[in-house]
Amino acid sequence: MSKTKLYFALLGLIFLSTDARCFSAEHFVGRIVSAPGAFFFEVQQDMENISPVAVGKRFSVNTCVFPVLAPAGIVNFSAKIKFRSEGNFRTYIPQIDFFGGYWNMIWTKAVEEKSSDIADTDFSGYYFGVLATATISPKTRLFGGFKHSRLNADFELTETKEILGALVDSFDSGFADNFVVAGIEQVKGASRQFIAQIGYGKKTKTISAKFSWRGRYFELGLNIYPEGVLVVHPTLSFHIDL
Amino acid sequence: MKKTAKIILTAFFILSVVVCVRGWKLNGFTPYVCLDLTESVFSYTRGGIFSGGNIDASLGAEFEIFGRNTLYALYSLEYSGPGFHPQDTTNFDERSLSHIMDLEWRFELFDFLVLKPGFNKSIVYRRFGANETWENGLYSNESVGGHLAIDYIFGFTTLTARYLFRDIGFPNYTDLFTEFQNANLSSEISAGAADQKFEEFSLGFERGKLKVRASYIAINFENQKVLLSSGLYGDTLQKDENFQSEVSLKLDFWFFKIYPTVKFAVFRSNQNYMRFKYLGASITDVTNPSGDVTFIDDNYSYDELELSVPAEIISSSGRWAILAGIDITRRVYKSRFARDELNNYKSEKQKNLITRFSAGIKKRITDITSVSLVYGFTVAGSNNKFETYQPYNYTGHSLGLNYRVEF
Repeated sequence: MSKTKLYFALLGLIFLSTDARCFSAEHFVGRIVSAPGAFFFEVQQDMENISPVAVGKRFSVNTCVFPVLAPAGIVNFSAKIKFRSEGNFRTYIPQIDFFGGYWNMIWTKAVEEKSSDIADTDFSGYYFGVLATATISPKTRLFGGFKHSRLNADFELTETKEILGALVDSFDSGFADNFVVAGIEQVKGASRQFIAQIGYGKKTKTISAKFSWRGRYFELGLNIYPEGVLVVHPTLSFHIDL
Repeated sequence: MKKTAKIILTAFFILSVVVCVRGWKLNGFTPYVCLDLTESVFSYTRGGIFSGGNIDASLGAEFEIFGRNTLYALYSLEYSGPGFHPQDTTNFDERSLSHIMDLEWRFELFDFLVLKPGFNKSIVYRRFGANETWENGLYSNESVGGHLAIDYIFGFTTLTARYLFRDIGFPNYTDLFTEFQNANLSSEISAGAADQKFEEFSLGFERGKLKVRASYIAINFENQKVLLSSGLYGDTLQKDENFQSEVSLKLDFWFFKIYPTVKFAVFRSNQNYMRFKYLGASITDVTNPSGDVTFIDDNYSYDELELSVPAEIISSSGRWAILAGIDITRRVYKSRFARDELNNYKSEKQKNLITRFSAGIKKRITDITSVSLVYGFTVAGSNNKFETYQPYNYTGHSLGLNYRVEF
């Protein structure tokens, strides 16, 4: 990792810790408990890999290592495929990529098996979309597209229970939204890119930004959710481009 | 959001995508992309620590259509989060989310005369906390409008005259005073109270590093009436006027750049104000400054002076820069009296002063990307000591990290 990446990773972590310190631990946990769907929707977006397939490559697979796979134990997988290269067919046609992914928090099943109160759990999500990318200078590409994201956060209880005066037999705090995404990619060297992007959810009006440094196998990202439960999310992903 | 606004927004977005995807293969096309993001932490003497961010994402293009015609299109998505603001403006917790679309046709009539008609559509969501929904914000608004500007160029000087108008609607706004007075009614009785027509006439002068601008703004409310000392609304509609003037300089001394700006604003409103000390207070002698209910004539008019001096020192390689700046804003109310801690009016007029210092470093990490770390020190003071709802006197610190990508 270069000094620059290390420098910005440290800055991100400093802001992450500062952000968490803005609230007491109780308040912070309370915010997650009061809106678990919103929080995990942010985590889902951390693992989503939305950037164009690299020049000269056709296919890419990706898994988000931190903070999703470790320590949260969420198995996740993303893929993107170049449907059409830029300038192919007509000079003004941009590169077209399709992308998608799926994740599942598998340890919730273990909780379900050990618990006598929980009959069924579904803590998973998926996303898919399309991206158009065009070169605007020899080292710079601009991209934009749409994606649909869905988070399932469902718990079914073995029997109806009274919680805060209400009879409850299941929880469903899932989220789904359609997003517009746009960004810019700058090539820094062979298999190295700097990517800045923004996403906007039409229904939830979620706004997010991501800055990432993408190398041959790893991508270091800084996701920012200004209205989120946790504003700054540093991420580390592993990918293989073919 | 109205259906027409949705259609315009969608059409504009599709047009932008189509234009951007196709456009740069054409001659005379210049795309513009900017993503500016700041995340900061704030700490101040009257409260705890909080965080806030700002995002400005813009996508635009300039097309040379033919000959002397240029079309300029810009879409911006702007987010403004919690932060320090001058007294009597917005609360620290307030957030806004804006979609702004601008189209401008630049037609070079002669070498010395350029006509610039334009169209603007904006949707602004505002809320006071993350737990509110954006659509239901009291001050969320939509506006549609246009402008006509004329540039007169002679030598190195450009003289610009512009007329701008906006029709602004506040679909959720309700007048709490009216609602309070008619608490027995269950129906909406003050819808559209903040709907307004915004007009601006401005004259600008630019020569080299000097820029001078003067403008007159008139805001005519469509439904909001002026409050009388009886506690009832009269027949006169509210009208706000703002006379603004601004002088700025861009000075470059090799590696040292400094951009001093002075602004002076004279804001006048015919709206008055009735101060209730508590819910259910009865109107007796409204001229008593310590009474339960006090009427303040011409409550909102003020004069404001702002001095802003940002500066930067750039390293010889151009990759690093040291940032520094000072911003001073002083507001003096024409008729509004300051209040003491108990919400009683004093004999002196209200005066606010806010001074902001900033210092930081900026590093250019790619040809189009820079990152900055900026520390801010804010000192706010006022002779208004009633601070139940908004702090007027405090010292604050902030530390912000900014990423900027601009192409």
